[in-house]
Amino acid sequence: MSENTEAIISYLEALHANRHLVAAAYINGGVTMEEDNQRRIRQLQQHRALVPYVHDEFRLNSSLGRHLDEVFQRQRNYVIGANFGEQINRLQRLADEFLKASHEDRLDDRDNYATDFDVGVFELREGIASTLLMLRTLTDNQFANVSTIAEKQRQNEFYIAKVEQLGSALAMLQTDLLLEQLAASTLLDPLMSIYRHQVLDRLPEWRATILDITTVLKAYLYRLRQVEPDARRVRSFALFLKKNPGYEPPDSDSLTNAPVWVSKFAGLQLRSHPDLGSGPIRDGLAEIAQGVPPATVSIVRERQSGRLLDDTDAKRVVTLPVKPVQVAYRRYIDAVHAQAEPLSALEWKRQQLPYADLDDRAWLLYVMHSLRVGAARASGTRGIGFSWNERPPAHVRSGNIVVDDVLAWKRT
Amino acid sequence: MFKRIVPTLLSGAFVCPVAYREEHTYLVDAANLAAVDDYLGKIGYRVTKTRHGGAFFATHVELGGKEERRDARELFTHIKHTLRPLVHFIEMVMRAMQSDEFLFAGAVIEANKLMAAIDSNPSFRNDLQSLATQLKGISADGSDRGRLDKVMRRLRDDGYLVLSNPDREIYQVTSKIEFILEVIEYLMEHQGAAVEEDEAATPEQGGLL
Repeated sequence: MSENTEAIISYLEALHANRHLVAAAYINGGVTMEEDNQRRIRQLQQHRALVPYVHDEFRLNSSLGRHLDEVFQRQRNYVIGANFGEQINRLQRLADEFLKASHEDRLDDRDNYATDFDVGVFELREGIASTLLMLRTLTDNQFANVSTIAEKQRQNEFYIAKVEQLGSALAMLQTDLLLEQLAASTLLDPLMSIYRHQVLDRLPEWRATILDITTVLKAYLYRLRQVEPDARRVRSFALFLKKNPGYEPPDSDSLTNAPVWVSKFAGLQLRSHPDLGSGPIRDGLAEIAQGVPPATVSIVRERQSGRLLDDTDAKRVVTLPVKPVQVAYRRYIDAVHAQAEPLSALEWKRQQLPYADLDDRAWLLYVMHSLRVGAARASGTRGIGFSWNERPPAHVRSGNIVVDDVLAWKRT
Repeated sequence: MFKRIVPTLLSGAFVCPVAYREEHTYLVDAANLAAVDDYLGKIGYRVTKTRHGGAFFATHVELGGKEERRDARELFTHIKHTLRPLVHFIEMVMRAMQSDEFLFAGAVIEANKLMAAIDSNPSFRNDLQSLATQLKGISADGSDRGRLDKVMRRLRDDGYLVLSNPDREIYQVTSKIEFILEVIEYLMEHQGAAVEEDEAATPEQGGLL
């Protein structure tokens, strides 16, 4: 299903959903916007089924009204087409009939004529406004609905004639017999009031719009007429360039009769700086600064470039210094190997002057740890047994193991 | 708006309804134009219109000073570099799309449609290739589509086109085209850069063997 079909269906559904409102507007000549029908009226207004009249009153779009007239064969007096001249003539006749009915005291007829005059003036206003709207749209989009220059030109010329015709019709509205006729009798004051409100008060705005549209259309027509010679010139120049591949435009200094465009300003880039001495500017800058996210600080560490190792460097093997406790332990193990009896670690250390500085507790801890690790690995301390003397703990639940001394002996 | 227009004009831009719609609308009003013109006049510039009135741009009030001569030289250097490829591009687009409306500010160029037209005719493909070689910085290698994109991007950067719909790759011709038409007209009238119009209008036809 095409988009157009869907749009029509959507429009008809909107009419159907609001059928009571449409019928009321047609029968009563309009509907008044209230709280309960506001949404529905807005929806119909969007579909251009209803158009605003005065204050909160809305009327049926004149074309939809005419359609319903045709469907229900409702006869209007002096019905005419969209020609504004004819519409004005019709209004003259209605005013004439209204006056006669007033003189002859035919009140019902007079009211009917008044209603028709009201609707007729409204249709005239709507016709002019919608024609101007259409012309304005066409002018603004430069006849985008047609693609070729020739089509645009034909449409442009047609609409210029149409706008001039509309301008003449507007001139008639202010000067023609209808106005004189309405001003001639006080009996016609109600019609005059309608006419003034709906038409006369809007004339200056309409005239300005027409003038604007005419100016744009004529300028556009002029431009359209220029396209053909411009195109011929471009083709000719392109051919010249093809035939003369070495051609270059002259230097600016050699020009005679330099045209205005030669003096075009090349342009410059303007840069401004805030005046920090100005309080308001400073406050503004502070606000901006608060909105700026903190900058991510990234510390770039420069990597030292590598260097080739010198193969002749004798210091490629680094010897780690041996700690005194390690030397003492090694000697203690040697001493254990040298005798058959268990050797006290604490006693042995006290006999060795070079290790007198070693703390007893640290020494015992180191010896215990090394013997246990050695036993687990079964490496450096193979063939050595060991035990330690535990002192009873200060408290049975303390969990501490207090070691007085460590004994090591050579296993047989 | 005044505050926005003056720097735009002083940047050397062409203020037209396609590239600077609001600014152009403002300048169309005679009172606004006079105000901007007065302002620029105090620093030695004035607002000038292209002959068809489609674009406003700033010009020097007097021509003859050092700065004016430098600007004129810069302008002619730009013309020397861009005129040939630009004229060939316009002419190719007019032939490929069979319409003269591309000389009109606001005319729409759909890159996809133009590419389809170029694809269907070997002559247009050759034209596109030679066009790419004429524009500095555009490689003649690669696909035709790549070449066309680069050419159109270059013309957009030079202010002759505006990318009005990036998704569908639709460009619009700006009123700067009117400026280049004036340049062409001047060169043809005053510099003898012309061929007979009949010759230009009638394409060469091959004879039957």
